[in-house]
Amino acid sequence: MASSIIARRTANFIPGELCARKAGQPARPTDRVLVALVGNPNVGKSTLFNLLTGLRQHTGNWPGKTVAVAWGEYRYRNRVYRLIDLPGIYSLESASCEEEVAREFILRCRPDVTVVVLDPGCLARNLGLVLEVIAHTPRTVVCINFLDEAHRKGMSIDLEGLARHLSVEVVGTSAVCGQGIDELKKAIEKVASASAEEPELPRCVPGVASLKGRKFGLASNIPSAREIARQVLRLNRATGGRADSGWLDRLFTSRILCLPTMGGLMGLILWLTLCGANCPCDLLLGTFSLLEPRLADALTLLGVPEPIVEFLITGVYRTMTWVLAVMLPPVTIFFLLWAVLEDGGVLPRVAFHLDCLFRKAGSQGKQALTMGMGLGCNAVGVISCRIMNSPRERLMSMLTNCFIPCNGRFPTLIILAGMFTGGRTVWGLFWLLVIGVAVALAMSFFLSRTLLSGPPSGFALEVPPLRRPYLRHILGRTLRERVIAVVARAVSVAAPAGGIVWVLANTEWAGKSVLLHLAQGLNPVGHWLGMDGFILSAFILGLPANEIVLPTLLMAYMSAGGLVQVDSLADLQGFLFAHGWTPTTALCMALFSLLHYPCATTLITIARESKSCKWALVGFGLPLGVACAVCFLVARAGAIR
Amino acid sequence: MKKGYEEKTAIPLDVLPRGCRAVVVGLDCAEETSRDLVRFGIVPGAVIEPVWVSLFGDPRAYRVEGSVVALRNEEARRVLVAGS
Repeated sequence: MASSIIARRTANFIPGELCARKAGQPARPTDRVLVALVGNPNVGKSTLFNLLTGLRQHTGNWPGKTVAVAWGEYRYRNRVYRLIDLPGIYSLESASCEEEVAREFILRCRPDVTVVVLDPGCLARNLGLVLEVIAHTPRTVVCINFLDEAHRKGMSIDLEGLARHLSVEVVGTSAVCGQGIDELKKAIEKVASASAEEPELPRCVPGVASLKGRKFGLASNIPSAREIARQVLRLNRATGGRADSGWLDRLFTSRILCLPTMGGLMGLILWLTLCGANCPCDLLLGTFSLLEPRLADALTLLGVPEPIVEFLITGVYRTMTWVLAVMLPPVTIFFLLWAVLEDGGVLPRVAFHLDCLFRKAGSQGKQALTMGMGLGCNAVGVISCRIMNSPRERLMSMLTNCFIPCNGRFPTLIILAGMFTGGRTVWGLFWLLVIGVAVALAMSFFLSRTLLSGPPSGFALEVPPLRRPYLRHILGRTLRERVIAVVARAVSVAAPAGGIVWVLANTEWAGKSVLLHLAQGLNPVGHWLGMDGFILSAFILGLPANEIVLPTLLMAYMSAGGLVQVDSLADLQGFLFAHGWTPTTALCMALFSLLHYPCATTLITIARESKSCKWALVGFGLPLGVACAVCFLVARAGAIR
Repeated sequence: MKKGYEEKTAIPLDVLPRGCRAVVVGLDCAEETSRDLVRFGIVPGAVIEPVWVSLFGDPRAYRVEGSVVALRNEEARRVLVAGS
C-alpha cells in the first residue's frame, strides 16, 4: 500500500504531542519523519495534505481556512511520515493567532523536513517566505503548486533554475489533478535521509552575501525574492501572466451588481434546496413511518416486553428517523451548493464588500468569513474566529456567530418558514437569514460599545482568484462532512435524547407526565413570547443539540394528546396547526430558534477558545436575551393585528 | 496596455485612480501596520494597481505581486506611491 492512513487529528497546538522526539534531534531511520507543510494562505496546502495522506481535511478558497493544526501520516518506501498541515503564513514574524501556531512549530519543533508550498501566481511574495524558512532550516523542499493554472495563464517556471538559486529540492505539483505527488514524496524522502549534519546554507541568493547567522525580516527578503522570481519566471503569452478576471469575477466585484448577485445567488441556493429536498423528505418520512409498525411487531415477536418496545419505537426510533428524514435532504443539497461557493472563492469577495458594514459595527469584514463557517456548524465557526486580528474582534465574532443558523437549526427553520409565510418558504428563509446577519451586526455594534470597547483594527485581506470548484472534491466532502455527520448526530444524539424525552413524557407524577408539568409551568412565559410551554420545553431539552428541538416538540404534543401518523412535511405542519398554532406562533418559534443560545458544544467551544467561562455565559445569555426580546415584540405586534 | 501613473511626486495610495499602475515608494506608518502591509508584498519598489472598489467605496482591492489584496482607505493612505 503506497500510503496508509494511520491517524488523523485536528488538535490545538501542543508541540509535545506532535513531535514525540526531542526538538532538534535528527530522525533515526525507525522514527517517524516529521514533515511540516507551510506556505502563504491559499496555495493549496490542505489539498496537498489530503493527496499525500489520503485523508480529508476541509479545504476552502480563502485565507485562514486551516485554523487548527491537522496531521496525518503516510508510508513511503517503508518509512512513516507524519505530515503536519500548518495554517497559512505570510512571514515567520507573524502577528495573528493562527499564524503564531505555524511560526512556533517551525521554530520550536524543528521538523525534519519543511515543505514550503508556493503559488506561481504570486511567486515573488511567496519566495520571500521561502528565503525566511531556508534561513532557519535548510532541510526544506520547495513545492510549486497550481502548475496547471500557471500554464493556463501562460507562465512557465524554471524549476531547475530555482533549485540552483535556492540550493534546495524544488518540485512542481498540481494538487487538483494529483500531478507531481510522487515526485514530492521522493523529494521529501531525499531530504529526510540526507545526513543529519546541517547542510550548507544556500550561497547564491542575489544581493545577499551570506545567509548564515542573520535574522531576516520579510521586508529585507523581498528584493532578493523578486530578483529570483524575475530570473526563473517565463511569460509565454501576451497576457503577461495576468489572469483574465472573467465575467463572473467582474459580476462579483462590481459595485452596482455585487449586491443583486450575492442576494440572487443565496436565493437560488435556498430555492434549489427547498425544491430538491421536499420530495426526498416526504419519501423518507413515509418510509420510516411505514416501517414503524413492522419493527414494533418484530420486537414483540422476539419477546421484548411491551413498555420497552414502546420506548424503543416511539422514543428512540421515531426521534432518530425524524431527525434523519427532516435533516438529511436539505442539508445535503444546501451544503453541496454552499461548497461550490466556498471552493470557488466567493466568500472573500463578500467579506470585501461587507467590510464597511462590519466596520460600522466595530468589527471587520473577516467576520463574514467566520459567519460563513458558522452556517455549517457554530462550533466550527467559533474556532474559525482565530483569523480575526485583535482579541476584541475575535471575541465579538465568537459571541455573535450563533445568530447564523447552523445545519442543526436549518431544517427546523425550513418547516417553520413554510408555516408563517403560507407556503412561500424561500422568501421566509431568505429573510430569516438576513435577520440573522442583521442581528449579528447589531450585537457586534452593541458589544463594541459596551463589553468589548476598544480601538478598531485594520482590515487587510487577500482576495484569492475565483477557482473552478472540482466536482469530485465537493461531492466527496459534502458526503463525508454533512451526510455522515447528520447520520452520526442522529444516532449519537437524537436517539438517546429521544429515549430521555420519551421517559419524561411517560413518567407519571401527580397524575400528569413530567414533561406536561414542565410544559404547563412554562406556559405563561411561552405565551408572553408568542409560543407555548411545549415549545419552550423543547428548546430547553434541545440544549445539547439543536436537531432534537422539533422531534422533542412533536413528542411532547403527542404525549399530551393522541398519536398521529406523520408521513410528510405537510402532515407535520398540519399537526402543529392542530395544536393551536397560528402563523405568529411559527414566526416566533423561527425567530427564537434563529436567535436563541447556541448548542452546548458551541458554548463549550467558546469557553475553550476564550479560556474563560465568563464569555461562554455571555454567549448563552446575550442571544437568549435577544431572542426573548424579539419574540416578545413580535408576539405583541401579532396580538394587536 | 494599462496606463501608468505618470506623476513623479508621491501620493497616498487611496487617491490613486482605479486602473492606474504605480510604484510603492514608502510606507508611512507604525511598525505594526507596516508589517501587515509587508506580508502582502506591499514594500517599496512593488508595482501596485487598484482593481476593485467595494459596495460602499471604502475597502478597495489592489493587485500587487500577482495577488489581489483588499485594504481600507485608512491603511492605503499610509502607502505612498509614485509614477515609475
